[in-house]
Amino acid sequence: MPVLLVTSDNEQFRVEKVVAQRSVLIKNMLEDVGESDQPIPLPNVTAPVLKKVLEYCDHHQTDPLPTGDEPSADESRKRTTDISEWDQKFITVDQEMLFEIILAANYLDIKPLLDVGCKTVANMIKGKSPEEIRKLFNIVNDFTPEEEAQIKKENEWAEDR
Amino acid sequence: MAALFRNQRTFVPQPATRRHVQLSLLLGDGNTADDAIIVLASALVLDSTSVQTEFLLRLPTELLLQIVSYITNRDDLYSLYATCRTLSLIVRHSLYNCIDTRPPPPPFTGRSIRDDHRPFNAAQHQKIFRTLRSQPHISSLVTELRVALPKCTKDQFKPARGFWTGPKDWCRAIEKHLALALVQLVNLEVLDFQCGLCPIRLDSVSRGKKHDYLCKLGAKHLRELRLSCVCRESRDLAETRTILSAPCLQSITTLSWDIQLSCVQWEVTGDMSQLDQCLLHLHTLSYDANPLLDRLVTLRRIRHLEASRDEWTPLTALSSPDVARNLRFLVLYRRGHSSLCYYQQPNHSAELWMQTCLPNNAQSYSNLRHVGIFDFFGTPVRRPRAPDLGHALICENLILTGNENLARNATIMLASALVFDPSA
Repeated sequence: MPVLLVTSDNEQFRVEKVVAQRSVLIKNMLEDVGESDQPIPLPNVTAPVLKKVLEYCDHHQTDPLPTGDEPSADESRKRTTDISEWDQKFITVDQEMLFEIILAANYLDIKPLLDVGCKTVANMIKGKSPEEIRKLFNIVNDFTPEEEAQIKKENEWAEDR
Repeated sequence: MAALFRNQRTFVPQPATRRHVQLSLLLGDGNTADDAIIVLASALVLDSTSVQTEFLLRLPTELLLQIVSYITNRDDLYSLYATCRTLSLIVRHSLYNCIDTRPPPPPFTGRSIRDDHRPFNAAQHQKIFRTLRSQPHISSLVTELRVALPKCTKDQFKPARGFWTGPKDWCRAIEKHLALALVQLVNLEVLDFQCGLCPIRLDSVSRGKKHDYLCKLGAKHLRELRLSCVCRESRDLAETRTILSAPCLQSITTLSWDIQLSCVQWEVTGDMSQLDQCLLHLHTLSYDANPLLDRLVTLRRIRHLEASRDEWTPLTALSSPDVARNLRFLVLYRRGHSSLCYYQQPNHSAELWMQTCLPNNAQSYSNLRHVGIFDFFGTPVRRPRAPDLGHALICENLILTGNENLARNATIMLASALVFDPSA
Protein backbone atom coordinates (compact mmCIF):
# COMPACT_ATOMS: atom_id res chain seq x y z
CA MET A 1 0.00 0.00 0.00
CA PRO A 2 1.51 3.34 -1.02
CA VAL A 3 1.99 6.21 1.39
CA LEU A 4 1.57 9.87 0.51
CA LEU A 5 4.25 12.24 1.82
CA VAL A 6 3.96 16.03 1.59
CA THR A 7 7.07 18.19 1.74
CA SER A 8 7.48 21.70 3.14
CA ASP A 9 7.15 23.10 -0.38
CA ASN A 10 3.86 21.23 -0.83
CA GLU A 11 5.10 18.63 -3.24
CA GLN A 12 3.57 15.19 -2.89
CA PHE A 13 5.46 11.89 -3.06
CA ARG A 14 3.65 8.59 -3.30
CA VAL A 15 5.96 5.79 -2.14
CA GLU A 16 5.67 2.19 -1.08
CA LYS A 17 5.11 1.71 2.63
CA VAL A 18 8.17 -0.50 2.97
CA VAL A 19 10.31 2.30 1.55
CA ALA A 20 8.73 5.04 3.68
CA GLN A 21 9.13 2.94 6.80
CA ARG A 22 12.90 3.14 6.59
CA SER A 23 12.17 6.36 8.44
CA VAL A 24 11.42 5.58 12.06
CA LEU A 25 9.46 8.85 12.28
CA ILE A 26 7.16 7.85 9.42
CA LYS A 27 6.94 4.27 10.67
CA ASN A 28 5.75 5.49 14.07
CA MET A 29 3.29 7.91 12.51
CA LEU A 30 1.81 5.14 10.37
CA GLU A 31 1.52 2.90 13.39
CA ASP A 32 -0.19 5.67 15.33
CA VAL A 33 -2.79 6.54 12.70
CA GLY A 34 -3.32 2.97 11.47
CA GLU A 35 -4.64 2.29 7.94
CA SER A 36 -5.37 5.71 6.46
CA ASP A 37 -5.16 7.60 3.18
CA GLN A 38 -4.19 10.78 4.98
CA PRO A 39 -1.04 12.40 3.57
CA ILE A 40 1.88 12.62 5.98
CA PRO A 41 3.23 16.17 6.25
CA LEU A 42 7.00 16.57 6.47
CA PRO A 43 7.36 20.28 7.22
CA ASN A 44 11.13 20.11 7.72
CA VAL A 45 12.04 18.53 4.39
CA THR A 46 11.97 20.09 0.95
CA ALA A 47 11.09 18.19 -2.22
CA PRO A 48 14.60 17.91 -3.68
CA VAL A 49 15.95 16.59 -0.37
CA LEU A 50 13.08 14.14 0.15
CA LYS A 51 13.59 12.86 -3.39
CA LYS A 52 17.19 12.12 -2.55
CA VAL A 53 16.31 10.56 0.81
CA LEU A 54 13.71 8.33 -0.83
CA GLU A 55 16.30 7.22 -3.36
CA TYR A 56 18.40 6.01 -0.43
CA CYS A 57 15.44 4.33 1.27
CA ASP A 58 14.43 2.60 -1.93
CA HIS A 59 17.91 1.19 -2.46
CA HIS A 60 18.15 0.00 1.16
CA GLN A 61 14.55 -1.14 1.58
CA THR A 62 15.56 -4.76 2.22
CA ASP A 63 18.36 -3.99 4.68
CA PRO A 64 17.74 -5.11 8.26
CA LEU A 65 16.61 -2.23 10.42
CA PRO A 66 19.26 -1.15 12.93
CA THR A 67 18.40 -1.93 16.53
CA GLY A 68 20.94 0.47 17.98
CA ASP A 69 22.46 -2.07 20.33
CA GLU A 70 24.60 -4.09 17.96
CA PRO A 71 27.74 -5.15 19.81
CA SER A 72 30.08 -3.74 17.21
CA ALA A 73 28.15 -0.54 16.62
CA ASP A 74 30.59 1.51 18.63
CA GLU A 75 33.61 0.12 16.86
CA SER A 76 32.17 0.53 13.41
CA ARG A 77 31.47 4.15 14.25
CA LYS A 78 35.19 4.70 14.45
CA ARG A 79 35.87 3.42 10.95
CA THR A 80 35.04 6.46 8.94
CA THR A 81 35.93 4.97 5.60
CA ASP A 82 33.55 2.04 5.69
CA ILE A 83 30.94 3.59 3.42
CA SER A 84 29.69 1.23 0.75
CA GLU A 85 30.38 2.04 -2.87
CA TRP A 86 26.75 2.78 -3.64
CA ASP A 87 26.41 5.02 -0.59
CA GLN A 88 29.58 6.89 -1.51
CA LYS A 89 28.24 7.54 -4.97
CA PHE A 90 24.85 8.49 -3.55
CA ILE A 91 26.32 10.99 -1.09
CA THR A 92 28.57 12.65 -3.67
CA VAL A 93 26.54 15.85 -3.78
CA ASP A 94 27.24 19.50 -3.18
CA GLN A 95 27.70 20.65 0.40
CA GLU A 96 24.29 22.24 0.70
CA MET A 97 22.57 18.99 -0.30
CA LEU A 98 24.89 16.93 1.91
CA PHE A 99 23.99 18.90 5.02
CA GLU A 100 20.31 18.99 4.05
CA ILE A 101 20.38 15.20 3.78
CA ILE A 102 22.00 14.95 7.22
CA LEU A 103 19.36 17.21 8.73
CA ALA A 104 16.57 15.31 6.98
CA ALA A 105 17.96 11.93 8.07
CA ASN A 106 18.08 13.22 11.63
CA TYR A 107 14.53 14.57 11.46
CA LEU A 108 13.14 11.48 9.76
CA ASP A 109 15.18 9.23 12.06
CA ILE A 110 16.98 7.22 9.39
CA LYS A 111 20.08 6.22 11.32
CA PRO A 112 22.03 4.49 8.53
CA LEU A 113 21.64 7.53 6.28
CA LEU A 114 22.61 9.84 9.13
CA ASP A 115 25.73 7.74 9.67
CA VAL A 116 26.66 7.90 6.01
CA GLY A 117 26.27 11.68 6.02
CA CYS A 118 28.24 12.23 9.22
CA LYS A 119 31.00 9.86 8.13
CA THR A 120 31.27 11.69 4.84
CA VAL A 121 31.74 15.01 6.61
CA ALA A 122 34.27 13.41 8.99
CA ASN A 123 36.19 12.06 6.01
CA MET A 124 36.19 15.51 4.45
CA ILE A 125 37.81 16.87 7.62
CA LYS A 126 40.48 14.21 7.96
CA GLY A 127 44.03 15.25 7.11
CA LYS A 128 43.23 18.95 6.78
CA SER A 129 44.71 21.93 8.57
CA PRO A 130 42.47 24.42 10.40
CA GLU A 131 42.81 26.83 7.51
CA GLU A 132 41.87 24.17 4.99
CA ILE A 133 38.80 23.24 7.07
CA ARG A 134 37.77 26.89 7.21
CA LYS A 135 38.13 27.19 3.48
CA LEU A 136 36.28 23.95 2.79
CA PHE A 137 33.28 24.80 4.95
CA ASN A 138 33.49 28.56 4.60
CA ILE A 139 34.01 29.04 8.33
CA VAL A 140 35.11 32.36 9.75
CA ASN A 141 38.09 32.34 12.06
CA ASP A 142 36.58 34.11 15.06
CA PHE A 143 39.48 33.57 17.45
CA THR A 144 41.32 36.58 18.72
CA PRO A 145 45.11 36.50 18.17
CA GLU A 146 45.49 35.83 21.89
CA GLU A 147 43.14 32.87 21.72
CA GLU A 148 44.96 31.49 18.71
CA ALA A 149 48.26 31.76 20.55
CA GLN A 150 46.76 30.02 23.56
CA ILE A 151 45.39 27.18 21.41
CA LYS A 152 48.75 26.72 19.76
CA LYS A 153 50.47 26.66 23.13
CA GLU A 154 48.07 24.04 24.44
CA ASN A 155 49.05 21.75 21.61
CA GLU A 156 52.81 22.27 21.73
CA TRP A 157 53.44 18.91 23.31
CA ALA A 158 51.65 17.05 20.54
CA GLU A 159 53.68 18.83 17.89
CA ASP A 160 56.85 17.72 19.66
CA ARG A 161 56.24 14.02 19.13
CA MET B 1 44.41 51.82 -3.42
CA ALA B 2 46.70 49.00 -4.49
CA ALA B 3 47.28 48.20 -0.84
CA LEU B 4 43.55 48.15 -0.31
CA PHE B 5 43.04 45.60 -3.05
CA ARG B 6 45.69 43.43 -1.53
CA ASN B 7 43.70 43.59 1.67
CA GLN B 8 40.48 42.86 -0.16
CA ARG B 9 41.86 39.72 -1.69
CA THR B 10 42.77 38.34 1.71
CA PHE B 11 39.76 39.75 3.49
CA VAL B 12 37.93 37.24 5.60
CA PRO B 13 34.47 38.16 6.88
CA GLN B 14 34.57 38.77 10.59
CA PRO B 15 32.00 39.48 13.26
CA ALA B 16 31.02 43.13 13.26
CA THR B 17 33.32 44.30 15.99
CA ARG B 18 36.42 42.80 14.43
CA ARG B 19 35.47 44.02 10.97
CA HIS B 20 35.23 47.55 12.28
CA VAL B 21 38.67 47.25 13.71
CA GLN B 22 39.95 46.09 10.33
CA LEU B 23 38.28 49.03 8.60
CA SER B 24 39.80 51.48 10.99
CA LEU B 25 43.15 49.86 10.34
CA LEU B 26 42.63 50.29 6.62
CA LEU B 27 41.83 53.96 7.09
CA GLY B 28 44.85 54.27 9.26
CA ASP B 29 46.99 52.98 6.39
CA GLY B 30 46.21 56.07 4.38
CA ASN B 31 43.12 54.84 2.59
CA THR B 32 40.13 57.10 2.16
CA ALA B 33 36.65 56.75 3.59
CA ASP B 34 35.42 55.82 0.10
CA ASP B 35 37.88 52.97 0.05
CA ALA B 36 36.51 51.81 3.37
CA ILE B 37 32.97 51.89 2.03
CA ILE B 38 34.03 49.69 -0.91
CA VAL B 39 35.60 47.23 1.49
CA LEU B 40 32.56 47.33 3.75
CA ALA B 41 30.29 46.60 0.80
CA SER B 42 32.42 43.67 -0.33
CA ALA B 43 32.57 42.40 3.23
CA LEU B 44 28.80 42.49 3.49
CA VAL B 45 28.53 40.51 0.26
CA LEU B 46 30.99 37.95 1.61
CA ASP B 47 29.14 37.88 4.91
CA SER B 48 25.79 37.13 3.33
CA THR B 49 27.44 34.38 1.28
CA SER B 50 28.90 32.88 4.41
CA VAL B 51 25.53 32.87 6.12
CA GLN B 52 24.19 30.88 3.22
CA THR B 53 27.09 28.49 2.91
CA GLU B 54 28.30 27.93 6.47
CA PHE B 55 26.39 24.66 6.42
CA LEU B 56 28.54 22.79 8.90
CA LEU B 57 28.03 25.28 11.71
CA ARG B 58 24.29 25.30 11.09
CA LEU B 59 24.05 21.70 12.22
CA PRO B 60 22.71 21.18 15.73
CA THR B 61 25.23 20.33 18.42
CA GLU B 62 24.29 16.66 18.63
CA LEU B 63 25.02 16.19 14.92
CA LEU B 64 28.32 18.02 15.18
CA LEU B 65 29.20 15.72 18.07
CA GLN B 66 28.29 12.71 15.97
CA ILE B 67 30.59 13.88 13.18
CA VAL B 68 33.38 14.42 15.68
CA SER B 69 32.85 10.91 17.07
CA TYR B 70 34.05 9.53 13.72
CA ILE B 71 37.30 11.44 13.98
CA THR B 72 39.81 9.59 16.11
CA ASN B 73 43.15 10.96 14.95
CA ARG B 74 44.42 13.57 17.38
CA ASP B 75 45.85 15.82 14.67
CA ASP B 76 42.48 15.92 12.92
CA LEU B 77 40.72 16.72 16.19
CA TYR B 78 43.19 19.50 16.86
CA SER B 79 42.68 20.97 13.38
CA LEU B 80 38.97 21.08 14.02
CA TYR B 81 39.54 22.52 17.50
CA ALA B 82 41.63 25.34 16.05
CA THR B 83 39.13 26.22 13.33
CA CYS B 84 36.69 28.45 15.18
CA ARG B 85 35.12 28.98 18.59
CA THR B 86 32.02 26.91 17.92
CA LEU B 87 33.99 23.88 16.80
CA SER B 88 36.56 24.28 19.57
CA LEU B 89 33.74 23.95 22.11
CA ILE B 90 32.38 20.90 20.31
CA VAL B 91 35.75 19.17 19.96
CA ARG B 92 37.52 20.04 23.20
CA HIS B 93 36.20 17.09 25.14
CA SER B 94 37.21 14.56 22.47
CA LEU B 95 40.60 16.23 22.11
CA TYR B 96 41.52 16.26 25.78
CA ASN B 97 39.46 13.39 27.13
CA CYS B 98 42.39 11.03 26.72
CA ILE B 99 46.02 12.07 26.79
CA ASP B 100 48.23 9.28 25.57
CA THR B 101 51.98 9.72 25.23
CA ARG B 102 52.68 6.12 24.43
CA PRO B 103 54.90 5.92 21.39
CA PRO B 104 53.66 3.88 18.47
CA PRO B 105 54.57 0.22 18.85
CA PRO B 106 57.91 -0.75 17.33
CA PRO B 107 58.16 -3.22 14.49
CA PHE B 108 57.95 -6.79 15.68
CA THR B 109 61.36 -8.00 16.79
CA GLY B 110 60.47 -10.82 19.12
CA ARG B 111 62.23 -9.00 21.94
CA SER B 112 60.63 -8.18 25.24
CA ILE B 113 59.38 -4.64 25.75
CA ARG B 114 61.84 -4.35 28.58
CA ASP B 115 64.71 -4.72 26.09
CA ASP B 116 63.19 -2.33 23.65
CA HIS B 117 65.27 0.83 23.67
CA ARG B 118 63.64 3.86 22.13
CA PRO B 119 64.33 7.57 22.40
CA PHE B 120 62.68 9.32 25.31
CA ASN B 121 61.38 12.79 24.59
CA ALA B 122 61.67 14.59 27.90
CA ALA B 123 60.72 17.94 26.38
CA GLN B 124 57.39 16.58 25.22
CA HIS B 125 56.57 15.25 28.67
CA GLN B 126 57.63 18.50 30.24
CA LYS B 127 55.12 20.34 28.08
CA ILE B 128 52.34 17.88 28.76
CA PHE B 129 52.73 18.02 32.50
CA ARG B 130 53.11 21.79 32.46
CA THR B 131 49.97 22.18 30.36
CA LEU B 132 47.97 19.93 32.64
CA ARG B 133 49.25 21.73 35.70
CA SER B 134 48.63 25.26 34.47
CA GLN B 135 45.49 24.92 32.34
CA PRO B 136 42.54 23.94 34.54
CA HIS B 137 40.13 24.12 31.60
CA ILE B 138 42.12 21.28 30.02
CA SER B 139 43.01 19.26 33.09
CA SER B 140 39.37 19.10 34.14
CA LEU B 141 38.54 17.44 30.79
CA VAL B 142 41.07 14.64 31.12
CA THR B 143 39.58 11.31 32.11
CA GLU B 144 42.38 9.11 30.81
CA LEU B 145 46.09 9.68 31.15
CA ARG B 146 48.41 7.12 29.61
CA VAL B 147 52.11 7.78 29.88
CA ALA B 148 54.80 5.37 28.73
CA LEU B 149 58.46 6.10 29.21
CA PRO B 150 60.55 3.68 27.20
CA LYS B 151 63.88 2.39 28.34
CA CYS B 152 66.57 4.43 26.65
CA THR B 153 70.28 5.02 26.74
CA LYS B 154 71.90 8.33 27.56
CA ASP B 155 72.40 9.01 23.84
CA GLN B 156 68.72 8.54 23.17
CA PHE B 157 67.65 10.90 25.93
CA LYS B 158 66.31 14.16 24.56
CA PRO B 159 66.64 16.56 27.48
CA ALA B 160 64.44 19.50 28.25
CA ARG B 161 66.25 22.64 29.27
CA GLY B 162 65.93 23.37 32.97
CA PHE B 163 63.80 20.35 33.54
CA TRP B 164 65.64 17.08 33.58
CA THR B 165 69.35 17.38 33.55
CA GLY B 166 70.71 13.91 33.55
CA PRO B 167 70.08 10.23 34.02
CA LYS B 168 70.07 10.43 37.80
CA ASP B 169 67.16 12.85 37.69
CA TRP B 170 65.00 11.08 35.18
CA CYS B 171 62.75 9.11 37.45
CA ARG B 172 62.55 11.67 40.18
CA ALA B 173 61.89 14.59 37.90
CA ILE B 174 59.20 12.76 36.05
CA GLU B 175 57.47 11.76 39.22
CA LYS B 176 57.68 15.26 40.62
CA HIS B 177 56.09 16.85 37.57
CA LEU B 178 53.64 14.01 37.02
CA ALA B 179 52.56 14.38 40.65
CA LEU B 180 51.85 18.09 40.21
CA ALA B 181 49.84 17.41 37.09
CA LEU B 182 47.88 14.55 38.65
CA VAL B 183 46.64 16.76 41.46
CA GLN B 184 44.86 18.86 38.84
CA LEU B 185 43.17 15.93 37.11
CA VAL B 186 40.06 15.88 39.23
CA ASN B 187 38.01 13.91 36.72
CA LEU B 188 40.64 11.31 35.97
CA GLU B 189 39.19 7.82 35.67
CA VAL B 190 42.07 5.90 34.12
CA LEU B 191 45.74 6.30 34.97
CA ASP B 192 48.22 4.19 33.06
CA PHE B 193 51.86 4.86 33.84
CA GLN B 194 54.52 2.61 32.37
CA CYS B 195 58.04 3.58 33.32
CA GLY B 196 60.89 1.68 31.76
CA LEU B 197 63.43 4.47 32.05
CA CYS B 198 65.57 3.61 35.04
CA PRO B 199 69.05 3.01 33.78
CA ILE B 200 70.55 3.19 37.26
CA ARG B 201 70.05 1.87 40.72
CA LEU B 202 68.03 4.28 42.74
CA ASP B 203 69.41 3.39 46.15
CA SER B 204 71.62 6.44 46.11
CA VAL B 205 68.78 8.80 45.24
CA SER B 206 66.65 9.18 48.30
CA ARG B 207 64.26 12.07 47.99
CA GLY B 208 60.96 10.57 48.98
CA LYS B 209 59.35 7.28 48.14
CA LYS B 210 58.90 6.29 44.53
CA HIS B 211 55.32 6.28 43.30
CA ASP B 212 53.96 7.82 46.48
CA TYR B 213 52.30 10.48 44.28
CA LEU B 214 49.62 7.84 43.78
CA CYS B 215 48.47 8.53 47.32
CA LYS B 216 47.80 12.21 46.50
CA LEU B 217 45.78 12.11 43.31
CA GLY B 218 43.23 14.84 42.66
CA ALA B 219 40.89 12.29 41.07
CA LYS B 220 37.63 11.67 42.85
CA HIS B 221 36.47 8.66 40.89
CA LEU B 222 39.49 6.79 39.62
CA ARG B 223 38.36 3.40 38.38
CA GLU B 224 41.44 2.03 36.67
CA LEU B 225 45.06 2.18 37.73
CA ARG B 226 47.88 0.63 35.73
CA LEU B 227 51.39 0.96 37.03
CA SER B 228 54.40 -0.66 35.48
CA CYS B 229 57.86 0.12 36.76
CA VAL B 230 61.11 -1.62 35.97
CA CYS B 231 63.22 -0.07 38.72
CA ARG B 232 65.46 -2.84 39.94
CA GLU B 233 66.64 -3.42 43.46
CA SER B 234 65.36 -0.11 44.67
CA ARG B 235 64.66 0.10 48.37
CA ASP B 236 62.84 3.40 48.35
CA LEU B 237 59.66 2.38 46.60
CA ALA B 238 56.59 3.29 48.52
CA GLU B 239 55.05 0.11 49.83
CA THR B 240 52.27 -1.45 47.84
CA ARG B 241 50.08 -1.59 50.93
CA THR B 242 50.63 2.12 51.68
CA ILE B 243 49.74 3.18 48.15
CA LEU B 244 46.75 0.94 47.70
CA SER B 245 45.34 2.02 51.06
CA ALA B 246 45.19 5.66 49.95
CA PRO B 247 41.64 7.12 50.04
CA CYS B 248 41.90 8.44 46.47
CA LEU B 249 42.33 4.90 45.15
CA GLN B 250 39.41 3.23 46.87
CA SER B 251 37.03 3.61 43.91
CA ILE B 252 39.27 1.45 41.73
CA THR B 253 37.71 -1.54 40.02
CA THR B 254 40.65 -2.38 37.77
CA LEU B 255 44.21 -2.64 38.98
CA SER B 256 47.31 -3.57 37.06
CA TRP B 257 50.37 -3.65 39.29
CA ASP B 258 53.60 -4.63 37.62
CA ILE B 259 56.68 -3.93 39.68
CA GLN B 260 59.87 -5.93 39.50
CA LEU B 261 59.89 -8.85 41.84
CA SER B 262 63.14 -7.80 43.46
CA CYS B 263 61.44 -4.61 44.67
CA VAL B 264 58.54 -6.26 46.39
CA GLN B 265 60.10 -9.33 47.91
CA TRP B 266 60.61 -7.48 51.15
CA GLU B 267 56.93 -6.56 51.29
CA VAL B 268 56.02 -9.96 52.65
CA THR B 269 57.19 -8.78 56.01
CA GLY B 270 54.84 -6.67 58.10
CA ASP B 271 51.10 -6.76 58.38
CA MET B 272 49.72 -8.81 55.49
CA SER B 273 46.16 -7.91 56.40
CA GLN B 274 46.56 -4.18 55.82
CA LEU B 275 44.84 -4.40 52.43
CA ASP B 276 41.95 -6.52 53.66
CA GLN B 277 39.58 -3.53 53.88
CA CYS B 278 40.89 -1.78 50.79
CA LEU B 279 39.84 -1.79 47.13
CA LEU B 280 36.47 -3.26 47.94
CA HIS B 281 35.15 -2.78 44.39
CA LEU B 282 38.04 -4.50 42.67
CA HIS B 283 37.03 -7.06 40.03
CA THR B 284 39.87 -6.91 37.52
CA LEU B 285 43.40 -7.56 38.67
CA SER B 286 46.65 -7.94 36.82
CA TYR B 287 49.90 -8.22 38.73
CA ASP B 288 53.40 -9.43 38.88
CA ALA B 289 54.05 -11.94 41.65
CA ASN B 290 53.26 -10.10 44.86
CA PRO B 291 52.14 -11.88 48.03
CA LEU B 292 49.93 -8.97 49.09
CA LEU B 293 47.96 -9.12 45.86
CA ASP B 294 47.87 -12.91 46.00
CA ARG B 295 45.98 -12.37 49.20
CA LEU B 296 43.65 -9.85 47.54
CA VAL B 297 42.68 -12.47 44.95
CA THR B 298 41.18 -14.55 47.72
CA LEU B 299 39.37 -11.59 49.35
CA ARG B 300 37.68 -9.90 46.37
CA ARG B 301 35.30 -11.16 43.72
CA ILE B 302 37.88 -11.09 40.93
CA ARG B 303 36.35 -11.84 37.55
CA HIS B 304 39.29 -10.97 35.36
CA LEU B 305 42.70 -12.12 36.53
CA GLU B 306 46.08 -11.87 34.91
CA ALA B 307 48.98 -12.99 37.03
CA SER B 308 52.67 -13.42 36.41
CA ARG B 309 54.21 -16.42 38.06
CA ASP B 310 57.79 -17.31 38.53
CA GLU B 311 58.80 -20.58 36.86
CA TRP B 312 56.52 -23.31 38.11
CA THR B 313 55.03 -21.58 41.11
CA PRO B 314 51.29 -22.17 41.16
CA LEU B 315 48.84 -19.46 42.17
CA THR B 316 47.60 -21.02 45.37
CA ALA B 317 44.57 -18.71 45.53
CA LEU B 318 43.09 -20.67 42.64
CA SER B 319 42.71 -23.71 44.85
CA SER B 320 39.82 -21.90 46.54
CA PRO B 321 36.52 -22.95 44.92
CA ASP B 322 35.08 -19.45 45.50
CA VAL B 323 37.95 -17.76 43.72
CA ALA B 324 37.72 -20.22 40.83
CA ARG B 325 33.96 -19.77 40.55
CA ASN B 326 34.22 -15.96 40.24
CA LEU B 327 36.67 -16.11 37.38
CA ARG B 328 35.52 -15.30 33.84
CA PHE B 329 38.89 -14.55 32.37
CA LEU B 330 42.24 -15.95 33.40
CA VAL B 331 45.65 -15.43 31.87
CA LEU B 332 48.76 -16.70 33.54
CA TYR B 333 52.09 -15.31 32.57
CA ARG B 334 55.15 -17.48 32.90
CA ARG B 335 58.46 -15.76 33.28
CA GLY B 336 62.03 -16.34 34.32
CA HIS B 337 62.07 -19.48 32.29
CA SER B 338 65.07 -19.83 30.05
CA SER B 339 64.51 -20.85 26.45
CA LEU B 340 67.29 -23.38 26.82
CA CYS B 341 65.59 -25.00 29.77
CA TYR B 342 62.29 -25.02 27.88
CA TYR B 343 63.65 -26.98 24.99
CA GLN B 344 65.88 -29.29 26.97
CA GLN B 345 63.24 -30.36 29.45
CA PRO B 346 60.17 -31.41 27.51
CA ASN B 347 58.44 -32.37 30.72
CA HIS B 348 58.22 -28.71 31.55
CA SER B 349 55.58 -28.24 28.92
CA ALA B 350 52.81 -25.70 28.92
CA GLU B 351 50.32 -28.47 29.60
CA LEU B 352 52.11 -29.54 32.73
CA TRP B 353 52.43 -25.97 33.86
CA MET B 354 48.75 -25.31 33.34
CA GLN B 355 47.85 -28.38 35.33
CA THR B 356 50.14 -27.24 38.11
CA CYS B 357 48.66 -23.75 38.17
CA LEU B 358 45.03 -24.74 37.89
CA PRO B 359 44.03 -27.26 40.52
CA ASN B 360 41.97 -30.11 39.21
CA ASN B 361 38.54 -28.95 40.36
CA ALA B 362 36.75 -28.58 37.06
CA GLN B 363 33.34 -27.78 38.54
CA SER B 364 34.71 -24.72 40.29
CA TYR B 365 35.58 -23.06 37.00
CA SER B 366 31.98 -23.07 35.80
CA ASN B 367 32.05 -19.36 34.90
CA LEU B 368 35.43 -19.30 33.25
CA ARG B 369 35.20 -18.30 29.61
CA HIS B 370 38.76 -17.65 28.75
CA VAL B 371 42.13 -18.94 29.84
CA GLY B 372 45.46 -18.22 28.27
CA ILE B 373 49.17 -18.55 28.67
CA PHE B 374 51.75 -15.88 28.20
CA ASP B 375 55.24 -17.06 27.48
CA PHE B 376 57.68 -14.31 28.31
CA PHE B 377 60.27 -15.53 25.85
CA GLY B 378 57.96 -15.59 22.93
CA THR B 379 58.21 -19.33 22.53
CA PRO B 380 55.03 -20.61 20.94
CA VAL B 381 53.13 -22.65 23.47
CA ARG B 382 51.06 -25.57 22.27
CA ARG B 383 47.40 -25.54 23.14
CA PRO B 384 46.98 -27.05 26.55
CA ARG B 385 44.72 -30.10 26.69
CA ALA B 386 42.47 -29.69 29.67
CA PRO B 387 38.94 -30.78 28.80
CA ASP B 388 38.18 -31.14 32.50
CA LEU B 389 37.96 -27.37 32.89
CA GLY B 390 34.24 -27.47 32.46
CA HIS B 391 32.98 -24.68 30.20
CA ALA B 392 36.32 -23.01 30.06
CA LEU B 393 37.63 -22.12 26.68
CA ILE B 394 41.22 -23.13 26.34
CA CYS B 395 42.66 -20.61 23.96
CA GLU B 396 45.79 -21.03 22.06
CA ASN B 397 48.69 -18.67 22.42
CA LEU B 398 46.61 -15.62 23.14
CA ILE B 399 49.50 -13.36 23.67
CA LEU B 400 52.58 -14.78 22.07
CA THR B 401 55.37 -12.59 23.26
CA GLY B 402 56.22 -9.63 25.40
CA ASN B 403 56.19 -7.43 22.34
CA GLU B 404 54.09 -4.34 22.79
CA ASN B 405 52.87 -4.55 19.23
CA LEU B 406 51.07 -7.77 19.95
CA ALA B 407 50.07 -6.75 23.44
CA ARG B 408 48.17 -3.78 22.00
CA ASN B 409 46.32 -6.07 19.64
CA ALA B 410 45.58 -8.57 22.35
CA THR B 411 42.05 -7.35 22.84
CA ILE B 412 41.18 -8.31 19.31
CA MET B 413 42.81 -11.67 19.72
CA LEU B 414 41.00 -12.30 22.95
CA ALA B 415 37.72 -11.12 21.58
CA SER B 416 37.95 -13.52 18.67
CA ALA B 417 38.86 -16.29 21.09
CA LEU B 418 35.79 -15.62 23.17
CA VAL B 419 33.40 -16.56 20.39
CA PHE B 420 35.08 -19.91 19.92
CA ASP B 421 33.45 -22.59 22.01
CA PRO B 422 34.74 -26.10 21.43
CA SER B 423 31.87 -27.60 23.38
CA ALA B 424 29.24 -25.97 21.13
